[in-house]
Amino acid sequence: MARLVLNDLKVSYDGKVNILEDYNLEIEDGKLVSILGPSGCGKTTTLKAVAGFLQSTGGEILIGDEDYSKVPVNKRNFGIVFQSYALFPNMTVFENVSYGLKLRKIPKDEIEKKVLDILETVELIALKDRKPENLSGGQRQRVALARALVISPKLLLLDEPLSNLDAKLRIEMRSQIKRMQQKFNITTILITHDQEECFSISDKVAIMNDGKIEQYDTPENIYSNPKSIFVADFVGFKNLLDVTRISPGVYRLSNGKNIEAEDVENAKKIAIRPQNIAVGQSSDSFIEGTIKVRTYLGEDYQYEVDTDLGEIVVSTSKAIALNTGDIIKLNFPKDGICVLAS
Amino acid sequence: MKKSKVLTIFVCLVFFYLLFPLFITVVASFNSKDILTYPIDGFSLKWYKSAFSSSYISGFAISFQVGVVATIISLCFGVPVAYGLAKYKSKFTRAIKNVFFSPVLIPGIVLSYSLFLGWVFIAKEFDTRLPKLLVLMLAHIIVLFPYTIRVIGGAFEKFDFTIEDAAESLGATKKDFILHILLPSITPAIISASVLSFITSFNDIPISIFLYGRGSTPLPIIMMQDVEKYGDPSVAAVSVVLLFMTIGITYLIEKTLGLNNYGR
Repeated sequence: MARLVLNDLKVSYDGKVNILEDYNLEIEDGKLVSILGPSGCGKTTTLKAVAGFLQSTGGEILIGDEDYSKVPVNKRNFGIVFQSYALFPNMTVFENVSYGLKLRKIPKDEIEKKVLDILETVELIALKDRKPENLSGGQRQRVALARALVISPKLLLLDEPLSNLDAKLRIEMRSQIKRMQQKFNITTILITHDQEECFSISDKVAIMNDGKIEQYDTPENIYSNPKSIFVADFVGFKNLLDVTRISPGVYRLSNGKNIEAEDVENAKKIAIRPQNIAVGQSSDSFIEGTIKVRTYLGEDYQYEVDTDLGEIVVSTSKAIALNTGDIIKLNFPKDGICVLAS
Repeated sequence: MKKSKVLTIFVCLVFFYLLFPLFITVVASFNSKDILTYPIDGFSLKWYKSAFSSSYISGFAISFQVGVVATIISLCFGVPVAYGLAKYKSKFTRAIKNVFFSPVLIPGIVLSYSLFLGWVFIAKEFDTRLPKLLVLMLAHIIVLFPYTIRVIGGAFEKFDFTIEDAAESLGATKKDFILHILLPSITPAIISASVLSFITSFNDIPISIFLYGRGSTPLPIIMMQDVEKYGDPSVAAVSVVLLFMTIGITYLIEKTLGLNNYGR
């Protein structure tokens, strides 16, 4: 039905350099997909092109069988929630939410019913006659969400919707977004640079770098099985070590030691998370190092350890508190290692 | 306690300094003699009769027409220009703004003289004598334009331009956006700009004195000439009428629209 397909999408600001090139993305009907990446990776450009604020220079934006790439913004019928919320300052909450329906020339009593319904859902009924300037950040956010959803859009686009909220509110709002998205069963794209925010509520995540999608997969797969060095680095594999493959499943590290892991041809690096490194098993310890910096992270301690492989980041539970200057032994368990070819 | 007493006295002195000239004018307008004196020799309302004589009424009509037309036209140009300057910021924005503000920065008499020369040039080169009323309006538009851009531009500085995108995504055309959201959002600034522009135009002497003509003499010029020619208290009476008219209008705007709440 409303499956979204971006087919070889091309976007250029000046007609010469393509910001996006041969950009492909498929989103199943009713799914929430995040586009995650550092600033400047092209995620906002993607959103602008899909929304129509930026005319794509090639390719298709398909919803079902219909190509939207040439349809003007005001005819696309996509709901958009902006980072700044972009509420109309001259209108009350009720007027803001009803504006899209008014433009569609829907009868007054029907508008009122729909608007009150959705304001009920986002718990804003009591504030319906307030102006945006008299609302808190979270309330504005909910008005923006209601305003985008009330027009029964074909697609919901969320542009960094939570970045202007404080930490506690962000967690509350993201589950509200997820609830609304499921309730309306609407295909959704969420643009964000916050990994936790998008992993927690997305069905699938597209990680972008330099105008390209590096990996498009479920949050679980991306977290445990990154496909590229960039993705591994981005999702918290703090230790990336150069390797050469000497035989299937065996790699040589820069200090000359060999290590066993899953077999990948053309392997360039191995990645391992701080919490997957075993600390202090004296028996068959792999390398040794001196603790340089200790940081307390609440759940655990994290150490920057100086070794002959360079700096390795390790974390341990609170129970084992080590001190700066301690010499510790480290082990890399086979199942914690991720082998990367690119 | 002592401090507040000093302050009270100081404030009273300032108010006295500011309002004393107006007080004299009000008193002088009731003089029964034919000359401006203070204190007055006797009480009379006869100057108020002459304040409503045909020459003052027609002067008022001219000033009013010029003020209203120049204000409306400078708004019609000023709003889009201010929007463009606030939305599309480039390295030239500053330079463009300075050019638009130049009529305020140039000494009034220089600008007035230049406008006069411009009028002479057009009259000579094209052999057309534009109606003086039209010339006055055109000149006043140039003077009012910077005020309009400054006041309206102030309102746009705080305007979030993604609102335009939001409106469009909900199905609005550019026209819908302008009529339903943009203009209503800056109504207070439009009112401030209108009041400021109209008063600036209505008060103007330097521009008008170079460009007025028979049958299109604005009120301030007539008043100035009458002071020179007759020196009787009728001008004082006109001033008092204008004074109370202004107070009345300000009061009405304050009551209906709350200028002070918005004009910032």
